[in-house]
Amino acid sequence: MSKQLSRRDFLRIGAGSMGAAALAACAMPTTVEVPAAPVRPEIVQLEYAGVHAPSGLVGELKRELVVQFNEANPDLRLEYTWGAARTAGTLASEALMADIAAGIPPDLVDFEPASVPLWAENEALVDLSDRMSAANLTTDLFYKAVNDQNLWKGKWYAFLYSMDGRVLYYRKDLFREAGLDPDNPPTHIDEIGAAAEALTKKTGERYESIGFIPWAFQGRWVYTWGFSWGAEFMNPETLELTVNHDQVVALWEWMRDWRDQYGGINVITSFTEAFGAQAQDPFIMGVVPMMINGNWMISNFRKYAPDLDYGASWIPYPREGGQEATWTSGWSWAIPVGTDYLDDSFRALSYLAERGNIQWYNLGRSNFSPYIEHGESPEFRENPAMSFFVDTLPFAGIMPPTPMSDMAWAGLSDAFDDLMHDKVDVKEALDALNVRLNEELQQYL
Amino acid sequence: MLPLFPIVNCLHGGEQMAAIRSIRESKIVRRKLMWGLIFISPWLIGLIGFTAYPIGASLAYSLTDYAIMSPPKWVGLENYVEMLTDDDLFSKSLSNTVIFALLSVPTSIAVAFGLALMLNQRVMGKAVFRTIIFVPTLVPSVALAIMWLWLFNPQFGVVNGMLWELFGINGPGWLTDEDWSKPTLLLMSLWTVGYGVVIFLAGLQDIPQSLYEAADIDGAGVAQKTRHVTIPLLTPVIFFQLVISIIAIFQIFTAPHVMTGGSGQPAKSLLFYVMYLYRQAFVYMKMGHASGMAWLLFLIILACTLVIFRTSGWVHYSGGERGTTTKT
Repeated sequence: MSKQLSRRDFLRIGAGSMGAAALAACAMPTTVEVPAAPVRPEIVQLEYAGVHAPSGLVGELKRELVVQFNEANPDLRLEYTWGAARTAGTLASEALMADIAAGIPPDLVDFEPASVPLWAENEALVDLSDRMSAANLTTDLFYKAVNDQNLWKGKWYAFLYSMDGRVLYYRKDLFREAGLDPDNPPTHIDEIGAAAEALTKKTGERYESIGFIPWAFQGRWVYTWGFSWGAEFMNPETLELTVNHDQVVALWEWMRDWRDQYGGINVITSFTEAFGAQAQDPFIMGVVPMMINGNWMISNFRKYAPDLDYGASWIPYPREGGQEATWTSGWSWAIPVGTDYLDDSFRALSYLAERGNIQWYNLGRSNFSPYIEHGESPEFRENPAMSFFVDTLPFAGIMPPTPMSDMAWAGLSDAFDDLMHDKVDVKEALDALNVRLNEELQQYL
Repeated sequence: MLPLFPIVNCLHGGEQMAAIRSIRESKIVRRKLMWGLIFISPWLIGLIGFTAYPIGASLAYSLTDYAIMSPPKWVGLENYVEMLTDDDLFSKSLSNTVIFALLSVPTSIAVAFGLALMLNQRVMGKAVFRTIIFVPTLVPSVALAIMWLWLFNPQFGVVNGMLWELFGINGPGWLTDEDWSKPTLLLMSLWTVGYGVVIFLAGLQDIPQSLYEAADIDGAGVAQKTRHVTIPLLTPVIFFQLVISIIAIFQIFTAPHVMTGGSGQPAKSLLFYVMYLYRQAFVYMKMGHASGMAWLLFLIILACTLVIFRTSGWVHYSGGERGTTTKT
């Protein structure tokens, strides 16, 4: 009875199956259907997909906010869930993407501000404009850097609830040891060059400490330095990207020279690979007495080295073309398209966005409130470094808010790494990237 | 019964009976087929719904501009043209993958074969050694990648620590050094060579003892027996391992993705094809482009496999006929 399948029959059946599958697949959706909202139950379950682990300091603050929300809103039950792939901006948002496509997204989600335009363009985020106005959340309440990241094409797609910033941290005690003035940290790049040399210690060929590594920590990102160096990353009128700005080229050439001065990328990488975290942080340990890093380090110092003698200052800039500036980003809340109870989701967002909640949360994690009025709040001024951070906010630049942000981020990161390994000419690499980004951007303008 | 079969009714005698038997048999065959299909239907539904349909869909999506959350837009062959003519990272990731395949496939086969030969010896605790070799394959890939990341840390990793303590050698930067990153990944992948070892062991145990006895009578030494008996009779296994390894290596993703945070650095030396595909799909939201990359990868793997099959004259099938690996 058994009959061996001939090759011809096998191919025929295989081709038939594949053809059928392809035909079935060709019946692709031409519109994304949004199902009708279900009947509202007595207690509505809502999900807040956050980017911070529930067991960490920031996650605990968020969970506490959620508890307060649930107590104040007995008809709603908000649950904090954690999973990096269910938020956007961690360069791994596949689960959130799939959830939105399947019509089962979380009701509230943490969002990297720079990713908002791309997701908004792909109809994945709810336009919150009318609801924000109704809740009296208007642009005049917030820093310009916040509004520029919340809005895309004039519409609110997100609410930036926590701001960060970057400065130069320096160890005052080690400055004194090296004969440097702890009250006059380096402001210009020639000054930081001299200070770094004075703070560097070497035994034979081995570094005990390197005074400063420009691209370590938050210095790794071009936006951190770029605004201080006078670079512009976008023409605000035309939205044309200018990641190949002359000052970016100058900045990267300066970093390349620094690399050569300290023995090349492999020597420095080998040194930075030994960096620990928390109590073993290299700044706390004194092996990197100056660093560019974010405000979140303040809570780290407070916890692991409460007596640390340090100061904060502007990111160094060239005497010509430079300025006192920084780069700010942070985290936003957004409501994905497809949430079952949009009104309730916004109720959760607007509760969490209340001034008191925002202040409490940001103080707890040493971040800044997006509300301008909190800039003068004494709680944010208690710590001198924190106070300095607040002073930098009016001078803070942001990552160009376009749908190309993620692509620009990856492209700039690749280009910088190539530069450090002598794979590319700085100018050529940045020019090529800029052309590519602007070509891609055209489809959204 | 006869009225049901008017054509059969026109026949006579033996012809009629033969026709009835044939119809009955075909009914039985049909019934068996129906029940067979019912029993395998869970698998069939899975195959059609979760394999055939996505494969077909990805082909269709590769001809579109698609970001999952909004409807696809037809762009024809634009994605293919773009990746082949205007995408440096596409060629870089492909060349990285090919180089790594050339490094990894022969090495992993040779190591698996060598280990299998050792584990096939009559030594005490053979089962324990076999288990030790196989256990690493059970460790989840992400955990494995993170563990090796620590072991290969240039400053405080165990590997460089041992090199310094035992030989006074300053170890390289491993994954942070562009020249060492691929060899480091290769070393890491060898730790999970257990599957290959098990397959080689099965092949070794299939070789008839009589052939070794005959070789002994002819005065053959260990090397000669290995060269003239073991290796020829293991060529079907080597062939299988070769095909499977190439298919797997072209899809390498988890370890380099975890170890480099998806960047493929240093100097893009660890940016492999599927990592770039992932970046296109989930960072740039270019699902159409990513689908096109997936189909090109399929064609590349298919071409490699066909070339290997076409040049498989070196494979010895002891049954005599190619394609029938009968036991001897």
